[in-house]
Amino acid sequence: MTATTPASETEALPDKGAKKRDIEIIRVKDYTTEVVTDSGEGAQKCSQIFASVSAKSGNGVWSVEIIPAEIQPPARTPASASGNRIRIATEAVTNWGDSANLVMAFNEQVLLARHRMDALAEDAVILIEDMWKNHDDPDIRKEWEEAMEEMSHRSYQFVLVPMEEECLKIVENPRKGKNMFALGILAWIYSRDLAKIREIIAELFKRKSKEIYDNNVALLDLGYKWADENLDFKIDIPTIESEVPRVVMNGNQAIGFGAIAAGMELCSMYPITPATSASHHLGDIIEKFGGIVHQAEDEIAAVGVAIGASFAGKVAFTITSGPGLALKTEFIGLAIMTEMPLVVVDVQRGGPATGLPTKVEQGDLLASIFGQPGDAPHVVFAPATMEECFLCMTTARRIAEAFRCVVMVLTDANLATGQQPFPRPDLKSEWMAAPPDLMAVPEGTLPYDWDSQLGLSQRVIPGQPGGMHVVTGLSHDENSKIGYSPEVHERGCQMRARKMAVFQQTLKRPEVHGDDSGDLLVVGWGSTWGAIEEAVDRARDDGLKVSSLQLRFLSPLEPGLKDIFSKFKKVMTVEISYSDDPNDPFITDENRRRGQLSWLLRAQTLVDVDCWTRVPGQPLRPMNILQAIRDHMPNGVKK
Amino acid sequence: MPSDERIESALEALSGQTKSFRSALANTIEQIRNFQASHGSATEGKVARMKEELGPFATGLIDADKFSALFADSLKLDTLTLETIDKALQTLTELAARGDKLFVVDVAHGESLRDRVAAALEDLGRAFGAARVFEMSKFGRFPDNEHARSLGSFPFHRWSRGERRMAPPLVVSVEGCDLRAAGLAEFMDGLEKLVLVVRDESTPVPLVRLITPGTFVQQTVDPADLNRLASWSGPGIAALVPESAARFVHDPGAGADAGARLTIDSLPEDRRRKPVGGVSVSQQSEELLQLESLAGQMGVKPAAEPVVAGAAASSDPVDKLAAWLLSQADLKNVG
Amino acid sequence: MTECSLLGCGQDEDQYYSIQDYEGGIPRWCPGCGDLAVLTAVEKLLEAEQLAPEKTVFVSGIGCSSRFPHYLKTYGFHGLHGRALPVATGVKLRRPDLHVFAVMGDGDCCSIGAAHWIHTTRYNTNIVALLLDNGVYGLTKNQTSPTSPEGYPSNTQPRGAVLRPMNPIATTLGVTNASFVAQTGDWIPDHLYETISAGFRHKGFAFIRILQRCPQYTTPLFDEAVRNPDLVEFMVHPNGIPMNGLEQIYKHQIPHDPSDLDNGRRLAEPDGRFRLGLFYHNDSIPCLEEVRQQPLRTAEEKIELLNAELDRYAV
Repeated sequence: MTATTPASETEALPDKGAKKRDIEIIRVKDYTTEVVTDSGEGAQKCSQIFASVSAKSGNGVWSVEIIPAEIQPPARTPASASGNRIRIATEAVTNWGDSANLVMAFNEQVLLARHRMDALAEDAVILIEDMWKNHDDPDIRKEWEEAMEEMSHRSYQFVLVPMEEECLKIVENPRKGKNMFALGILAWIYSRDLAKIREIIAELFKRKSKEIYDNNVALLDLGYKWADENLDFKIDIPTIESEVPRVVMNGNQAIGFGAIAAGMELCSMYPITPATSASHHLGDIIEKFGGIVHQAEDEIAAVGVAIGASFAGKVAFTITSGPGLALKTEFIGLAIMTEMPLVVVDVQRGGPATGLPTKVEQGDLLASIFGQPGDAPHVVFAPATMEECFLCMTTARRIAEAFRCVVMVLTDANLATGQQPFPRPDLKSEWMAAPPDLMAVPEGTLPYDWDSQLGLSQRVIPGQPGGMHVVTGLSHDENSKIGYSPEVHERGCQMRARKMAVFQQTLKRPEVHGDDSGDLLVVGWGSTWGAIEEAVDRARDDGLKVSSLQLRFLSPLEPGLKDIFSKFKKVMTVEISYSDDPNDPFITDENRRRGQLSWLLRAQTLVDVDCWTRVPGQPLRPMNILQAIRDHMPNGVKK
Repeated sequence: MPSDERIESALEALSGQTKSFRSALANTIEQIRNFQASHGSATEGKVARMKEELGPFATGLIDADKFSALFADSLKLDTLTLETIDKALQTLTELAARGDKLFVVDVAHGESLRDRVAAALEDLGRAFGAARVFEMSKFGRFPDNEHARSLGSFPFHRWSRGERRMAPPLVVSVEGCDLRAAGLAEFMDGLEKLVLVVRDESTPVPLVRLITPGTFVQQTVDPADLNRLASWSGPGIAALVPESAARFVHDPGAGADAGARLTIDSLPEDRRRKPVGGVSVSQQSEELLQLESLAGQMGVKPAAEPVVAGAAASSDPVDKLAAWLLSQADLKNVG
Repeated sequence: MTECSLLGCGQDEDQYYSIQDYEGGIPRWCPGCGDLAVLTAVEKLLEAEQLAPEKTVFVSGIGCSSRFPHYLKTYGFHGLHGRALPVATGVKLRRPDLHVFAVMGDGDCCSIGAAHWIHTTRYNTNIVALLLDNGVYGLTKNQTSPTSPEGYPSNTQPRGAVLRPMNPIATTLGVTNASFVAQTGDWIPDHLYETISAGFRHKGFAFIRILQRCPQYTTPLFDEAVRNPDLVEFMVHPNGIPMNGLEQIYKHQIPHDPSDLDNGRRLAEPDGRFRLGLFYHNDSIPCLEEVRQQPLRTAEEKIELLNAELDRYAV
């Protein structure tokens, strides 16, 4: 194999009785692998294990799922492509990178899907099942040839792998086993520890029979052996010994763990992709912690139950995605009106309507902030990594409690299904909600005893003698008595808004990545953080005066933005939400629909914030952001 | 000594209740510590705590100083009050540190069962006393000369309805000759549960005088039977008796039908009786007659045939029981 | 979770509560409104059962009936139109120690909140649900409700309700896990009280439909029945709702064992008279909050358990 890689060397392996080969060791610091199969062939499991064992080996890892929209799309079609991208590096990885360097493909059609997405590097190494090339069915042979023809303009390096043939040695139905065979090959190529892989398989299959485990391990070993006898290259991604213990998980698991670490005991939800897997994980473990996942009859009831539980004591949370958020709107308004602490997690997907259920988008930003009729001030923030997904739940709960408010946490399908290793959180009892305080309060304690300056008031819960009151979604006074007078309504609105202003004052001025001044400032939020900073770093390496700013708190916005923006010639947002391209037909400065963050920042700062956004249903790639940065550099500066 | 194993088994059977009491204890400690952190300590302490409460995500995003200042409590507590709260906390932590030993009482030979149980509950009751002291201190309603008393002891008769529902269970090891259970009636309230682990011989039906409509009462030799006591949502007492004693259960939760609530599993075979610990043969007969009388009134249909030695054959279990009792009791001594 | 802390449990609970201790604001319903009768019956129940006001929660939706919690001095949650039951379920799930009532109107429960009504019946959460059914949207001034009689003219259907009314009793009896389904009328205070009282003592979801008059819009609905006891038929049984002498006035009685679901369903179908009493009762169906109850953990225990979980994710 000839590969143009940063460093490569060869070593002669001792003769194992087969044939003597020179094995090329390709040493790289950053390498991206994809496993793509027909839906249902187990690519996710193979990739999960591979990502996990790579993280355990000490590498930085970021994995992203490639998910078809249907459960069983027609096999051997580009629509069926299912799998994972696993970016592995010596140092920590913050995003899924640009292109795949090595692909494990179970047929040429799913590979074609990735090719058409421009997901593969020019010189990508492609290990592909060879059974289709000389298949009995002439149509399949033809499809193979046509696919190869379509990809022929690229310098992909194909390695044909007799997966079916090999797997038949162990299982009758290789469709249910190729993934482990492929994992064996990957384990050999990347020199992964087979014992560790077996441990992970044992954990994953702990509820299955011994026979299933044995078959999987046999296939794993077979793949490893096949690679050992047939391949002539290995990839070596050096590791840096981690100084702190780490854990690896996806964002949804992190949200679930984070909720437990925050002492939350009720997750009330209705199944919706891509949020549901958080409740799968939570449902599996939360009962040990005295909590439950309540699957309600619908999205509306899900938030209603959470609000009822919050009213009765501890803070509960609900988890959903865009369509569910829309349905919960009225209840969220009620929680704001009654000042009921509530945490709402929105794992964003493509919209509107059913949109792209399995794919990433940042399209709920404005809906989450402004979606409720009337003035409904509340907190919206967005974690940027899996680690932040874990840690932010405590913060969300604490803010909700302290300010008697709704806190929305926006994640997305990219964080939800991607895996990343991060320092193991050092759990603290202070993160957990204190048990409900049922002590008596003085007779006549007002349910909304607003501090006129701060808008804050003490929460009283059922069970506390002396504090009896009726909360209401109608306009009300300090005593929760319904009042329609201008004084009552205006004061209520003012107090609920005031406490959010007070909260904003506790936020710190965000830090700019790069210089504090320059030609262009790129502003992003949520899961685009890693890709944006990587693109900005490359641009800066090229001498461009560009910096970036990643916002966590979106409502209220972090302080000092106008001042920060003023130090740059131009400010633009990078978002995974729709915006009109100014060069498109009919688009003028007047009618241009902008990226959602850009709307928000323009309104807030009166700065002419531009935007570059895409809605590809997948995370943004650093190289595309880099190109956008070049395209958006102000006139007269280096591009 | 086999009774040690029975104590463990009894604790295991009551583990739902012991865990919930200990968990309430731990939570209360946590709540008081939270209160101290936000009221007692200096500003720096409060800020540091708020920082922890907000978690690492907030570091770099939220100014804990400013956040904490918003929730600075207007409540100003004097030193004496803070000291009192601290004493209450010490009482709770001291009790919590004892683990499962909290729930075990060993009545030495010749000691009064009732007094030892009362003392144990009074001692455990200090947890309720401490919680009350804290609450009163928090609202500044605490007359400062009284706190020592509630923290030093808090007898059962002062426990409120709520406290009795939280009542800690006790496993009491006692010699059969000291088993005078009638005095325990005063503790049968709320969710209080007592298990007596009886050493040596006892009278045949020592617990019969405790049977009232809402009280669970059980005599058994098998600790596995205690799960019924554990699952009953009211007051109850069970004794792990020697083989020579009667085995029965009065379970108010067993159904609406009175007959279903009392089940007699076995009656003593040994005809020879002698006084046990000052309980005369005649008194023992009274116990047995009382059980019979209850069984008759309640229309008991025993789940299992009573193991009756030397009784006249009869199809009606109540008749059987009556016949047997007559054969056992020396009625000439009665009255 | 009942009490999970010692704090608060030493409060003096032995005090006696009189009716006045439960009275909240002065009701602002129209004179002659059936809601008033229900409020009276509920206050009587609270006193009879000596429920601690702080341990009692009334949850309501939106509509005339949903003002209910404001007129009591307990905890209350006056929420959204149709959504009383999810909130009540949330309260009960985490705080089984509280006595939870849900008060709904016919539009609230049977129209916009129908999904919650059906599913909460299935959850069998231990809640007393009062359906205050006057067959009309009163608060918003006379719109057709799902229980408006066919032909009833309203502002939304001025030429008369175009559909036959739905039957909330038959609907509830058709739901899996229905455990207590009763019907009473606001004009028979004794029966109203006894029905709510039986519902309160029932462990599970007690669904009580209260036929009631709206003096503004639907007076004719029950007017004749109020005047003429012959138009009412009671289901009677030792395990049913006690009659307390009402049998002297109401001559039409039909024996019905409330454990007989099939007969209950048959009796739920209208046949000329307003049929009151207990259609079905089954105490053996587990409640959601019992089924889902988990032993609570302290912060330290949680940390230990969570660390054990994280070990599985360690790299």
